[in-house]
Amino acid sequence: MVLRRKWLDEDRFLEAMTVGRSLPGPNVSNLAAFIGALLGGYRGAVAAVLGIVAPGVGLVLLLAASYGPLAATPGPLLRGGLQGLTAGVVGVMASTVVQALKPVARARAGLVFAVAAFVAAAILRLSMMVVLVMLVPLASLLNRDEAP
Amino acid sequence: MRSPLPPIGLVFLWFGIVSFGGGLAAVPEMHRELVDSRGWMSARDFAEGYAIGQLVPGPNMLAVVFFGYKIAGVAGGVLAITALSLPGAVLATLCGQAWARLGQNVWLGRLRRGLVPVGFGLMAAGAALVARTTITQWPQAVLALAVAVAIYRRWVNPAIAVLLAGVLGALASRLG
Repeated sequence: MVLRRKWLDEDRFLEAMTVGRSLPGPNVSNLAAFIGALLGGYRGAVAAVLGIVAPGVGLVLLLAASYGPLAATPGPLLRGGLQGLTAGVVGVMASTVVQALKPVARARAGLVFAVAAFVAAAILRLSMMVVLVMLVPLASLLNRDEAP
Repeated sequence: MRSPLPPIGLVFLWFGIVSFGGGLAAVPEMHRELVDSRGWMSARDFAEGYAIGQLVPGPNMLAVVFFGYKIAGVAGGVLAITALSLPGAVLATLCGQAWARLGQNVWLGRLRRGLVPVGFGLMAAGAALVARTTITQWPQAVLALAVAVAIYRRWVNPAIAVLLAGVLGALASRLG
Protein backbone atom coordinates (compact mmCIF):
# COMPACT_ATOMS: atom_id res chain seq x y z
CA MET A 1 0.00 0.00 0.00
CA VAL A 2 2.81 2.37 0.91
CA LEU A 3 5.26 1.19 -1.70
CA ARG A 4 3.08 0.24 -4.65
CA ARG A 5 0.06 2.48 -4.58
CA LYS A 6 1.59 5.43 -2.79
CA TRP A 7 -1.66 6.00 -0.91
CA LEU A 8 0.29 6.82 2.23
CA ASP A 9 3.78 7.91 3.15
CA GLU A 10 5.96 5.85 5.49
CA ASP A 11 5.39 8.05 8.54
CA ARG A 12 1.65 8.02 8.16
CA PHE A 13 1.72 4.24 7.93
CA LEU A 14 3.80 3.85 11.10
CA GLU A 15 1.45 6.23 12.88
CA ALA A 16 -1.48 4.14 11.74
CA MET A 17 0.20 0.98 13.04
CA THR A 18 0.61 2.58 16.46
CA VAL A 19 -3.01 3.67 16.54
CA GLY A 20 -4.14 0.22 15.45
CA ARG A 21 -2.19 -1.37 18.26
CA SER A 22 -3.06 0.98 21.06
CA LEU A 23 -6.79 0.94 20.46
CA PRO A 24 -8.78 -2.02 21.70
CA GLY A 25 -9.90 -4.67 19.24
CA PRO A 26 -8.15 -6.54 16.45
CA ASN A 27 -5.00 -4.62 15.41
CA VAL A 28 -5.40 -5.19 11.73
CA SER A 29 -8.99 -4.08 11.48
CA ASN A 30 -8.18 -0.96 13.51
CA LEU A 31 -5.31 -0.25 11.15
CA ALA A 32 -7.64 -0.75 8.20
CA ALA A 33 -10.27 1.56 9.70
CA PHE A 34 -7.71 4.28 10.38
CA ILE A 35 -6.25 4.16 6.88
CA GLY A 36 -9.67 3.83 5.30
CA ALA A 37 -10.79 6.91 7.20
CA LEU A 38 -7.73 8.87 6.10
CA LEU A 39 -8.34 7.96 2.48
CA GLY A 40 -12.10 8.00 2.16
CA GLY A 41 -13.86 9.17 5.31
CA TYR A 42 -16.13 6.82 7.20
CA ARG A 43 -17.16 4.97 4.04
CA GLY A 44 -13.50 4.28 3.39
CA ALA A 45 -13.17 2.91 6.91
CA VAL A 46 -16.12 0.55 6.52
CA ALA A 47 -14.89 -0.73 3.16
CA ALA A 48 -11.36 -1.27 4.47
CA VAL A 49 -12.50 -3.21 7.55
CA LEU A 50 -14.87 -5.43 5.59
CA GLY A 51 -12.19 -6.13 3.01
CA ILE A 52 -9.62 -7.19 5.55
CA VAL A 53 -11.91 -9.18 7.85
CA ALA A 54 -14.29 -10.99 5.49
CA PRO A 55 -11.97 -13.64 4.00
CA GLY A 56 -10.74 -14.82 7.40
CA VAL A 57 -14.26 -14.86 8.82
CA GLY A 58 -15.44 -17.07 5.96
CA LEU A 59 -12.55 -19.44 6.48
CA VAL A 60 -13.05 -19.75 10.24
CA LEU A 61 -16.80 -20.36 9.77
CA LEU A 62 -15.92 -23.14 7.34
CA LEU A 63 -13.43 -24.65 9.79
CA ALA A 64 -15.85 -24.28 12.70
CA ALA A 65 -18.61 -26.00 10.72
CA SER A 66 -16.37 -28.93 9.83
CA TYR A 67 -14.82 -29.07 13.29
CA GLY A 68 -18.07 -30.04 15.06
CA PRO A 69 -18.74 -33.37 13.31
CA LEU A 70 -15.03 -34.19 13.09
CA ALA A 71 -14.36 -33.55 16.76
CA ALA A 72 -17.38 -35.64 17.75
CA THR A 73 -15.78 -38.75 16.27
CA PRO A 74 -12.09 -37.88 16.24
CA GLY A 75 -9.77 -40.24 14.40
CA PRO A 76 -6.39 -40.65 16.05
CA LEU A 77 -4.78 -38.68 13.25
CA LEU A 78 -7.03 -35.67 13.76
CA ARG A 79 -6.70 -35.90 17.56
CA GLY A 80 -2.90 -35.95 17.24
CA GLY A 81 -2.98 -33.08 14.75
CA LEU A 82 -5.15 -30.98 17.05
CA GLN A 83 -2.93 -31.75 20.03
CA GLY A 84 0.08 -30.65 17.98
CA LEU A 85 -1.70 -27.50 16.78
CA THR A 86 -2.80 -26.44 20.24
CA ALA A 87 0.68 -27.11 21.62
CA GLY A 88 2.05 -24.92 18.83
CA VAL A 89 -0.40 -22.15 19.65
CA VAL A 90 0.61 -22.29 23.32
CA GLY A 91 4.20 -21.92 22.09
CA VAL A 92 3.23 -18.83 20.08
CA MET A 93 1.47 -17.36 23.11
CA ALA A 94 4.51 -18.03 25.28
CA SER A 95 6.87 -16.31 22.85
CA THR A 96 4.48 -13.34 22.57
CA VAL A 97 4.53 -13.04 26.34
CA VAL A 98 8.33 -13.25 26.53
CA GLN A 99 8.70 -10.66 23.78
CA ALA A 100 6.52 -8.26 25.73
CA LEU A 101 8.63 -8.58 28.85
CA LYS A 102 11.21 -5.89 28.14
CA PRO A 103 9.06 -2.74 28.53
CA VAL A 104 7.47 -4.33 31.62
CA ALA A 105 10.85 -4.80 33.27
CA ARG A 106 11.65 -1.14 32.53
CA ALA A 107 8.47 0.23 34.08
CA ARG A 108 8.45 1.14 37.77
CA ALA A 109 7.18 -1.81 39.79
CA GLY A 110 6.37 -3.36 36.41
CA LEU A 111 6.87 -6.93 37.55
CA VAL A 112 4.77 -6.39 40.68
CA PHE A 113 1.83 -5.17 38.60
CA ALA A 114 2.35 -7.97 36.07
CA VAL A 115 2.28 -10.65 38.78
CA ALA A 116 -0.73 -9.04 40.46
CA ALA A 117 -2.65 -8.97 37.16
CA PHE A 118 -1.66 -12.59 36.44
CA VAL A 119 -2.83 -13.85 39.82
CA ALA A 120 -6.06 -11.85 39.62
CA ALA A 121 -6.96 -13.12 36.15
CA ALA A 122 -5.59 -16.68 36.04
CA ILE A 123 -6.02 -17.84 39.63
CA LEU A 124 -8.66 -15.64 41.27
CA ARG A 125 -10.54 -15.38 37.93
CA LEU A 126 -11.56 -11.82 38.66
CA SER A 127 -13.38 -9.86 36.00
CA MET A 128 -11.08 -7.86 33.76
CA MET A 129 -12.90 -4.67 34.68
CA VAL A 130 -11.98 -5.21 38.33
CA VAL A 131 -8.35 -5.98 37.45
CA LEU A 132 -8.01 -2.89 35.26
CA VAL A 133 -9.72 -0.53 37.70
CA MET A 134 -7.61 -1.77 40.60
CA LEU A 135 -4.22 -1.82 38.92
CA VAL A 136 -4.03 0.55 35.95
CA PRO A 137 -4.50 3.84 37.84
CA LEU A 138 -1.82 2.88 40.34
CA ALA A 139 0.57 1.72 37.63
CA SER A 140 -0.10 4.93 35.66
CA LEU A 141 0.55 7.02 38.75
CA LEU A 142 3.88 5.35 39.44
CA ASN A 143 4.85 5.66 35.75
CA ARG A 144 3.51 9.16 35.16
CA ASP A 145 6.89 10.29 33.85
CA GLU A 146 8.74 8.55 31.06
CA ALA A 147 10.71 5.57 32.40
CA PRO A 148 14.35 6.41 33.19
CA MET B 1 -35.54 -20.61 24.38
CA ARG B 2 -34.78 -16.95 23.99
CA SER B 3 -32.46 -15.98 21.18
CA PRO B 4 -28.87 -15.91 22.44
CA LEU B 5 -27.92 -13.26 19.89
CA PRO B 6 -28.44 -10.11 21.99
CA PRO B 7 -26.27 -11.36 24.90
CA ILE B 8 -23.65 -12.56 22.40
CA GLY B 9 -23.56 -9.10 20.86
CA LEU B 10 -23.15 -7.41 24.24
CA VAL B 11 -20.50 -9.81 25.52
CA PHE B 12 -18.35 -9.49 22.40
CA LEU B 13 -18.79 -5.72 22.32
CA TRP B 14 -17.34 -5.74 25.83
CA PHE B 15 -14.46 -7.96 24.66
CA GLY B 16 -13.89 -5.44 21.87
CA ILE B 17 -13.50 -2.67 24.41
CA VAL B 18 -11.08 -4.52 26.70
CA SER B 19 -9.00 -6.37 24.12
CA PHE B 20 -6.10 -4.01 23.72
CA GLY B 21 -2.57 -5.10 22.88
CA GLY B 22 -3.33 -7.75 20.32
CA GLY B 23 -6.13 -9.52 22.11
CA LEU B 24 -4.14 -12.00 24.16
CA ALA B 25 -4.72 -9.84 27.23
CA ALA B 26 -8.47 -10.34 26.85
CA VAL B 27 -8.24 -14.15 26.77
CA PRO B 28 -8.76 -14.55 30.55
CA GLU B 29 -11.86 -12.37 30.35
CA MET B 30 -13.22 -14.33 27.38
CA HIS B 31 -12.51 -17.60 29.18
CA ARG B 32 -14.25 -16.33 32.30
CA GLU B 33 -17.36 -15.18 30.46
CA LEU B 34 -17.73 -17.91 27.83
CA VAL B 35 -16.61 -20.95 29.82
CA ASP B 36 -16.77 -20.27 33.57
CA SER B 37 -19.69 -17.93 34.06
CA ARG B 38 -22.05 -18.46 31.09
CA GLY B 39 -21.12 -22.05 30.26
CA TRP B 40 -21.53 -21.39 26.53
CA MET B 41 -18.70 -23.82 25.74
CA SER B 42 -16.20 -26.19 27.36
CA ALA B 43 -12.64 -25.22 28.21
CA ARG B 44 -11.50 -27.60 25.45
CA ASP B 45 -13.72 -25.96 22.82
CA PHE B 46 -12.33 -22.61 23.93
CA ALA B 47 -8.70 -23.70 23.61
CA GLU B 48 -9.20 -25.46 20.28
CA GLY B 49 -11.24 -22.58 18.92
CA TYR B 50 -8.47 -20.23 19.92
CA ALA B 51 -5.95 -22.45 18.09
CA ILE B 52 -8.09 -22.53 14.94
CA GLY B 53 -8.40 -18.74 15.03
CA GLN B 54 -4.62 -18.41 15.15
CA LEU B 55 -4.17 -20.64 12.12
CA VAL B 56 -6.20 -18.58 9.72
CA PRO B 57 -4.61 -15.55 8.07
CA GLY B 58 -6.35 -12.25 8.79
CA PRO B 59 -6.99 -10.27 11.95
CA ASN B 60 -5.40 -11.70 15.07
CA MET B 61 -8.67 -12.38 16.86
CA LEU B 62 -10.60 -14.53 14.42
CA ALA B 63 -11.08 -17.12 17.17
CA VAL B 64 -14.16 -15.15 18.25
CA VAL B 65 -15.84 -16.19 14.98
CA PHE B 66 -15.42 -19.77 16.15
CA PHE B 67 -16.74 -18.92 19.61
CA GLY B 68 -19.79 -17.15 18.18
CA TYR B 69 -20.43 -20.05 15.80
CA LYS B 70 -20.19 -22.52 18.66
CA ILE B 71 -22.86 -20.62 20.59
CA ALA B 72 -25.31 -19.68 17.83
CA GLY B 73 -24.20 -20.86 14.38
CA VAL B 74 -23.19 -18.65 11.47
CA ALA B 75 -25.16 -15.64 12.73
CA GLY B 76 -23.38 -15.94 16.08
CA GLY B 77 -19.97 -16.06 14.40
CA VAL B 78 -20.60 -13.01 12.22
CA LEU B 79 -22.12 -11.10 15.13
CA ALA B 80 -19.17 -11.95 17.40
CA ILE B 81 -16.49 -10.54 15.08
CA THR B 82 -18.63 -7.51 14.20
CA ALA B 83 -19.25 -6.62 17.84
CA LEU B 84 -15.62 -7.24 18.71
CA SER B 85 -14.25 -5.02 15.96
CA LEU B 86 -16.73 -2.21 16.37
CA PRO B 87 -15.32 -0.23 19.34
CA GLY B 88 -11.76 -0.17 18.00
CA ALA B 89 -12.85 0.56 14.45
CA VAL B 90 -15.02 3.49 15.52
CA LEU B 91 -12.21 4.88 17.67
CA ALA B 92 -9.69 4.38 14.86
CA THR B 93 -11.96 6.18 12.41
CA LEU B 94 -12.27 9.09 14.81
CA CYS B 95 -8.53 9.10 15.47
CA GLY B 96 -7.96 9.26 11.73
CA GLN B 97 -9.16 12.84 12.05
CA ALA B 98 -7.78 13.98 15.42
CA TRP B 99 -4.51 12.07 15.65
CA ALA B 100 -2.07 14.98 15.59
CA ARG B 101 -3.55 16.48 18.75
CA LEU B 102 -4.07 13.17 20.58
CA GLY B 103 -0.47 12.07 20.07
CA GLN B 104 0.77 14.82 22.35
CA ASN B 105 -1.72 14.18 25.13
CA VAL B 106 0.08 13.62 28.45
CA TRP B 107 -2.73 11.63 30.04
CA LEU B 108 -2.90 9.17 27.17
CA GLY B 109 0.82 8.56 27.54
CA ARG B 110 0.44 7.93 31.25
CA LEU B 111 -2.48 5.59 30.70
CA ARG B 112 -0.48 3.63 28.14
CA ARG B 113 2.52 3.33 30.44
CA GLY B 114 0.23 2.09 33.20
CA LEU B 115 -1.38 -0.45 30.89
CA VAL B 116 1.93 -2.03 29.87
CA PRO B 117 2.64 -4.13 33.00
CA VAL B 118 -1.03 -4.91 33.73
CA GLY B 119 -1.65 -5.95 30.13
CA PHE B 120 1.43 -8.14 30.30
CA GLY B 121 0.12 -9.97 33.38
CA LEU B 122 -3.22 -10.50 31.63
CA MET B 123 -1.48 -11.87 28.53
CA ALA B 124 0.49 -14.32 30.64
CA ALA B 125 -2.76 -15.35 32.34
CA GLY B 126 -4.36 -15.96 28.94
CA ALA B 127 -1.47 -18.16 27.86
CA ALA B 128 -1.62 -20.08 31.15
CA LEU B 129 -5.37 -20.69 30.88
CA VAL B 130 -5.11 -22.06 27.33
CA ALA B 131 -2.02 -24.12 28.22
CA ARG B 132 -3.76 -25.66 31.22
CA THR B 133 -6.55 -27.18 29.11
CA THR B 134 -4.48 -28.17 26.10
CA ILE B 135 -1.13 -29.40 27.38
CA THR B 136 -1.97 -32.80 28.82
CA GLN B 137 1.12 -34.84 27.95
CA TRP B 138 4.79 -34.05 28.22
CA PRO B 139 5.56 -34.32 24.46
CA GLN B 140 3.10 -31.47 23.96
CA ALA B 141 4.94 -29.38 26.52
CA VAL B 142 8.22 -30.04 24.72
CA LEU B 143 6.63 -29.14 21.39
CA ALA B 144 5.18 -25.92 22.81
CA LEU B 145 8.56 -24.96 24.24
CA ALA B 146 10.30 -25.72 20.93
CA VAL B 147 7.78 -23.57 19.03
CA ALA B 148 8.20 -20.73 21.54
CA VAL B 149 11.99 -20.76 21.19
CA ALA B 150 11.87 -21.07 17.39
CA ILE B 151 9.59 -18.06 17.08
CA TYR B 152 11.41 -16.00 19.65
CA ARG B 153 14.68 -16.58 17.82
CA ARG B 154 12.90 -15.77 14.56
CA TRP B 155 13.86 -19.07 12.96
CA VAL B 156 10.34 -19.54 11.62
CA ASN B 157 7.20 -17.58 11.03
CA PRO B 158 4.55 -18.29 13.76
CA ALA B 159 1.89 -19.57 11.36
CA ILE B 160 4.31 -22.06 9.81
CA ALA B 161 5.52 -23.16 13.24
CA VAL B 162 1.95 -23.88 14.36
CA LEU B 163 1.19 -25.83 11.18
CA LEU B 164 4.39 -27.85 11.58
CA ALA B 165 3.42 -28.59 15.18
CA GLY B 166 0.07 -29.91 13.94
CA VAL B 167 1.75 -32.13 11.34
CA LEU B 168 4.17 -33.43 14.00
CA GLY B 169 1.25 -34.19 16.30
CA ALA B 170 -0.54 -36.13 13.57
CA LEU B 171 2.65 -38.07 12.70
CA ALA B 172 3.25 -38.84 16.36
CA SER B 173 -0.26 -40.27 16.69
CA ARG B 174 0.56 -42.58 13.76
CA LEU B 175 3.67 -43.87 15.49
CA GLY B 176 2.36 -44.07 19.04
